[in-house]
Amino acid sequence: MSETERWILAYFEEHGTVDGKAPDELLDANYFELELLDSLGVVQLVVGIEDDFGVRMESSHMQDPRFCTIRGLAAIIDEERAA
Amino acid sequence: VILGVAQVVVNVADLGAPSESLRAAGFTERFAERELPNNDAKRPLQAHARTELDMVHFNAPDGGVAVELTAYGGEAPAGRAAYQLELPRRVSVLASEPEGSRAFWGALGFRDAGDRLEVRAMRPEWSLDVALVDRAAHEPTTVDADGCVLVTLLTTGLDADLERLCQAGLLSRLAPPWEESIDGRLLRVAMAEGPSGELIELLQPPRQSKQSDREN
Repeated sequence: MSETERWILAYFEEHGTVDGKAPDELLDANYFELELLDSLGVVQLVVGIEDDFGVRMESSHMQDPRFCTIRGLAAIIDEERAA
Repeated sequence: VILGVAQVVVNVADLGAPSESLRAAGFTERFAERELPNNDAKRPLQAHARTELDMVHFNAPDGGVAVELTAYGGEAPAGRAAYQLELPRRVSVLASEPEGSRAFWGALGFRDAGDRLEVRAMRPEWSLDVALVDRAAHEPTTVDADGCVLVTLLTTGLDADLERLCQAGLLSRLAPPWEESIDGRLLRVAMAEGPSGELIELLQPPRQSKQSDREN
C-alpha cells in the first residue's frame, strides 16, 4: 500500500464509518456507494488532501471515476504531485 | 471548487409540524441543534434582529436533496423567501435580473440547461436544479422568512468563491465568513445574495492556516 493510500485510509478510519472493514476491502470499494462519509466529510477530505499534499483538486478530478475509490483517489493525488 | 449542494434550508415558525411532514414523506433526521446563537454576520440578510435558532437536518429518500429546517427565536418569520421548493431536487427563483442570475449560478458551477440551471455532483443528493421564473419581486429576501430561504453549497474555497462573485459584480448583499460548529464539526460559513435576491450559504471546513484559506 502506498503512503498516499495509507493517508486516505487513515482519514476514513478517523472520520468515516468503516465498521471494521479490512483495509484491502476498502481500497477498491466505492466509498460513495458505501456511504462511508457524509457530504461534509467529503469536502473535509478534499481540503485535507489539498493542505497535506500541497495539490489543488479541481472539478475535473471529481468527475474522474477514480475519485470514488481510495486507490483511485491516491493515484490522482500522486499524479498531481508529480506534475 | 464547489462540490455540490449540501441542503436547502426551509425556515419555519415552529419545527414541530414541518418535521412531522418530512418524516411522513420518508425523510430521516440526521441531527438537530437547539438554541444555537444567531451569528451577527447574518443580520444584513434578516428581517429582524435574532439571538438564537433551532434547526433539524433531514436526509431525503431516494437521492433527493437534504432539507434543513430552521426556526429563529423571537418575532415570527418575516420578509420574502427566495425560493419555491419542489422536492426531490428543484427550486424556483423569481428572477428580476435573469441574465445576472444565470451568471451568478454559472459562477457557482451550475450549468445552463435551457429551462433551468443544474449542478450535477458526485452524489445525486448533492445535485439541484434551479429554475428562473422571469418576474420582478420587490420585497427583499431574508433568511428568516417563512419558506425555502437558502441553498447551501459545499466548497473547498469559500473566499475564492466570494471573490469571484464580487469581482463579477454579482453580489448584492453579503454575510461575511464566520466560524461555527455544526453537528460537532467546525465550519466556515458565509451567506450571499445574487442579482435576483437568491440567497446562498457556503460551507467550507477550515484549512490548517488562514493564509491557505485566502489562497484557495
